Amino acid sequence: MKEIIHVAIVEDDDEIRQTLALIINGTPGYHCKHTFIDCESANKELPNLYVNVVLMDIELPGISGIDGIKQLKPQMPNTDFIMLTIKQDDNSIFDSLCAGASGYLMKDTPPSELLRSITEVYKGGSPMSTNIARKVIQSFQISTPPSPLSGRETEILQLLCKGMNYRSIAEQLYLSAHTVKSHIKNIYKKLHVNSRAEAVSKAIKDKLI
Amino acid sequence: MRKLAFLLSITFLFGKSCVFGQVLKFEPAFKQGEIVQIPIAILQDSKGFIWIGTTDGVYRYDGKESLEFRHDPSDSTSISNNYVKELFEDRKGNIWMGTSFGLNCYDPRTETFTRFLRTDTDDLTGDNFIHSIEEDHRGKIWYGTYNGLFQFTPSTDSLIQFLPSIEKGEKSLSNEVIWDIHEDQQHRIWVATQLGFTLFKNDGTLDFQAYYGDMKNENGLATDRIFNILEQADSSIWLSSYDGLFRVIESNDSIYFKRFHIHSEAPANLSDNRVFDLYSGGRNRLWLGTYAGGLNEVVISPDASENIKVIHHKEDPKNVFSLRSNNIENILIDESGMLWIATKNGMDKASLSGNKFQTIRSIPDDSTSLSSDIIKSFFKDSFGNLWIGTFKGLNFLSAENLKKGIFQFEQFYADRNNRFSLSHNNINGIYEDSQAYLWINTFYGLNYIHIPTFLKKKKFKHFNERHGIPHTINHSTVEISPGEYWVGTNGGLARMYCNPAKSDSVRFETIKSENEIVNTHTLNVIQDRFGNYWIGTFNGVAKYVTRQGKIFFENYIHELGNPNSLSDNSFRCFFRDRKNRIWIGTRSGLNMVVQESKESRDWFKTYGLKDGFPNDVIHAIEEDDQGQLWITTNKGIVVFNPELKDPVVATYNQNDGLAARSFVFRASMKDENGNLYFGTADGFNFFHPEKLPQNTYVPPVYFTKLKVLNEVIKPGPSSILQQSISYTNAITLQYWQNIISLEFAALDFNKPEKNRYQYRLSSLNNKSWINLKHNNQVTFTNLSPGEHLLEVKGSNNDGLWNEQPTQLLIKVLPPVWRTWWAYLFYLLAFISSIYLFVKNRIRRKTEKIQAIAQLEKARAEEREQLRKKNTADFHDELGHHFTKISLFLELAERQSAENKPLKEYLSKIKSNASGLSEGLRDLIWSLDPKKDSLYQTLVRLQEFGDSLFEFSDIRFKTDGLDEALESVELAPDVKKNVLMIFKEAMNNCLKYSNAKNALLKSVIKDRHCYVVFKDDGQGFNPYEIKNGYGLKNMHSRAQKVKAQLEIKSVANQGTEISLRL
Repeated sequence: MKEIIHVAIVEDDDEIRQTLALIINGTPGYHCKHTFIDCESANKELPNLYVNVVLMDIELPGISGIDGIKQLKPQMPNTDFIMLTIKQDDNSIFDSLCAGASGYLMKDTPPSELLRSITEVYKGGSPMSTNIARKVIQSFQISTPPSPLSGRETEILQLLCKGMNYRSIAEQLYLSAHTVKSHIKNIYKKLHVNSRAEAVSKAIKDKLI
Repeated sequence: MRKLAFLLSITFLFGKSCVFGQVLKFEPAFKQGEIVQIPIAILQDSKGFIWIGTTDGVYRYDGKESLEFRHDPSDSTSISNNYVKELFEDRKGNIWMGTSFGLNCYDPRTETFTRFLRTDTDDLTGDNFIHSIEEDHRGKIWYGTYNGLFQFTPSTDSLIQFLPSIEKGEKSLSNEVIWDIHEDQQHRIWVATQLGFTLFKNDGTLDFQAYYGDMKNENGLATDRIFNILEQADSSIWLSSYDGLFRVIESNDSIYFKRFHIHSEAPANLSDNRVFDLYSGGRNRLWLGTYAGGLNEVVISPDASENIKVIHHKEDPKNVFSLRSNNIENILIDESGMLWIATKNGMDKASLSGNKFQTIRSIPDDSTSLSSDIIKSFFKDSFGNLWIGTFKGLNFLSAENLKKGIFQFEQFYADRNNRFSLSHNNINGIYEDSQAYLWINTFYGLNYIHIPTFLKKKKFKHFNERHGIPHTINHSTVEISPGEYWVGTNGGLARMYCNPAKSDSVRFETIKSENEIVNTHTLNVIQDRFGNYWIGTFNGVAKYVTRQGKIFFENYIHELGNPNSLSDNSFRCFFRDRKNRIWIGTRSGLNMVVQESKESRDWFKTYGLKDGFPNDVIHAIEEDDQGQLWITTNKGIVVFNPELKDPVVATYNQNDGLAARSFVFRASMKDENGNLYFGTADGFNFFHPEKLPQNTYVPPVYFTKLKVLNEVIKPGPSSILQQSISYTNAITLQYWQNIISLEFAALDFNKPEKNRYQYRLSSLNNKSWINLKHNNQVTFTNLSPGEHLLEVKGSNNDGLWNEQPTQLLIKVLPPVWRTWWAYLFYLLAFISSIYLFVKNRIRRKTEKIQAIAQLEKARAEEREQLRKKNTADFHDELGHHFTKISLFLELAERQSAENKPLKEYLSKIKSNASGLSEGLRDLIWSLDPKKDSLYQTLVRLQEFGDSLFEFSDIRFKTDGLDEALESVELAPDVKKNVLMIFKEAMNNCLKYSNAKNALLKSVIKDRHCYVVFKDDGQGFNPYEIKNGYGLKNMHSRAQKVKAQLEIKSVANQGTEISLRL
């Protein structure tokens, strides 16, 4: 039996939100019953809802998508957040990944691809682009000296930096593509932890100061 | 007697030292206060200084100053004792001094003494009392003492003493008391001792031979005590002793002696046998200094031993120019020909080169000499005879005698018993009129004679009070016109009318004038160029003028406070020079009458002491052929040229040979040959001004003293002077030693006070010599740093200059802040400061430029960012639209499930829309400066490839996407084109290749970047393919970015597209 993926959307543009919800919901295997116009309203209700994947627009008025995830993710640890963005800004993407997102998508991605990505993320494989991989490595190098990443994870990151795709990496490391993906998911988790830790320590520092 | 006078006259006339010697004039060698000690030794050193050893110190005299050396117990470089008996200069220029206690060697360079003493105590043996010093040809010093002869070798300091030996007898030294030592030209040593003399060869063998006094032998040495040994240029040896002068004659290995001493029979002999000093006066002349007989001048006749002539120069209380004492200790003749005599009463000197002026005096009991020494007037008549009027008698020198230079006079006196004798002996004036009558003014009566006929009968006629002469004391006669004379008398000026040729009658008339003459005691008359007569009186001067037929006397007297008035009323003499100016000599100054016109009242320009006259009592005036006035005063003669700025050209006095210090008024004459005659109270001088004998000795000039900051500098190791200033060529001074004086001396001792000096300093602008006159010192203050050459010239008393200047280079060191390295430092400091300044400016400019550049860059970046943001914003806008298009299309597609054509159209729209979206995204990406690298380009291609081949059968891999490629910058258009090329390639691969594998890789080879995409598909033929694959596009894109595109495709072996950047 096919699983149904419950999707929620947080998007300020009405037409996009509604049309997207319509498309997703109209596709078998997907449910999209909850849409929010901004993070504030999402914040109130989302934690109480059963949602698998949240599509979050980064550029939101008021609380940005990134901040939204920071607030929501701790409350919904089992929900995957996918960032939607028009821009290809590595920094904001990375920030959102650190904040807790599991992946990102371009808003104008063809809907079929969009749906596919949702499924992928739901199934546990989050994509990571080369540039993001570089940023991840950098982040881990800067923060705490003994990297929380395992050796395999570091390897994978490095190969990602080299512009290899999953398939090539899997071949190279004699792993299945699936294993690679789950490694990457772990990396993301650690990234979240790391970032959170950083944020906490920063806050402490700030408070102390 | 007459013969003697004759001979003496010859001497006087020619002034040369003739065969018979000359009359010497002795004068003190030193001025009052200069060396007063008794001189016992004299030496002139090789430089020209005169050294005087005295009983109390030794002195170096340079003509003006003397450097004194005395024993100083605290200074071991001072002389050992003050009693300096012997002076000797060795070949090195050191002065050896023998004293009563020790031998000393003075080094003039260091100005110090080295003492040589036998024992350090005051001994009684006499070893240290040195009488004589001599240097032999080997450089050894021999000296004689009271206790033997010593040979000293300075280089080894060895000393050998020689004493008489009883065993050796006459083969040893004759006696231990040594008076003199001499090495002759054959290198034999002669030693004069208290007991004879000793002779030995000085070749190392010391083969002594003594010769003792031997009274009995006529040809022997008649006496024991030998004082001096003299070798003449002709090698003849002379000995002076306690008993006469000996000549040594050597023949056939034996020696015998010719003795000269006082004999009562001999015509000319020594004045005293005790001859203490012996000096050579040249080839045939010796000078002997005796114990009590003064100086003997011995002339040797050239034909060897027999005859000598001796001239005595003795002390004569009546003659102030005689020797001051008959006790002569030492004699020296210096380089210039001066005779120096050290006597018991002090040092005298006399010039051997003759006096300038010859004096003629009256000789007692000689009726052919002058009648009196008091000369009052001269006259040379038209026949060439010379008439000289004196205080006591008239003298006549015939023209013939005068021409021959034979001063044999005929004297004429007043004789009461002779009616035709002179009326009085006291002659005031002599004058010849137009008729050849000679008028003689005397103290009583006016005499006259007819010259041509006079000598036969020698009869005088005269006029006295009986004839009506206003006063018998008359002074001068002047012929106004034939038959009319003016006679100046003590009772006024009288007109005399007479014609002696015709009759003896005479008429005297006093001059009737409208006003009174200033004084009636009239002395002399002269006519000026306007024809007026000037009358000099006892108290003022008057000019006789006639106006409108009336006679006036324009009287001129001295007006107090008026410098243009007559300087003094006591008239002495008149003179009219070649320019027809009237000169008036008075008791107080010389006056020149300034006559502006005939009618005007005249005024006077006066000269006297203020102009450099030695004295301004003007007695007589004459003019030489050069237009110079020779003026006699109470202190000698002044040569005066009023045209010169410095009118006194020269002065002469008794030291130059003038007869007396003071002259007699109006006693002067110039004859037609240019000879001048001047009368004094002690004879008269006559000479030719152009033929005055001059001192022809060119004096050497040396620096004698250096004073810095008013302190005398002595040579020494730490002194400014390494050696004595006389030996120094250059000195170096610090800048603060800025007062420097130098004294120098021209070493001529004739009249050293008349020596003149000039100097020149190189650093002064004026290149000409500065005249110091008689001043022998220069002082400079604040000489600038650098080198200054001081040159000094000196002349002797007659102005003969040593044209070779004596030089001293004075180097002044600059103060530290003015030295060359200080300047260098300043220069460096200046340069470095400029350099730093410039550098700073440049730096600041650069910084500014950099700042501007950075600002620009930041701005550019900002703009870029802004543009990008704008573009991004723009894109966002568009993005939203695309998103919506895409979403609605999806919906539409879903709605159109049945409508196939619609679905197809929609599908097409969808793909185009996504293509558009993609293209826009590519555009945004290409503008992003952060993505301007090869690496990013490859990453993008990789992402593209990944998604493109994801759902295909082609396994897409990448290789060589190294992060290092981040540094390979690609410009936006380059990366865009690269992107396009490979997107196209990948699309082609997907569409046509049927490949299993596709690879995107990047290689760096040969400094080029290669981007390669290859697959293992079926390939294609590049030449067959048409536009479909977009290959042309790819090529043109490659060309656009100047990259090389290579497309390799082989059938069934795949395709490789490589781009070289």
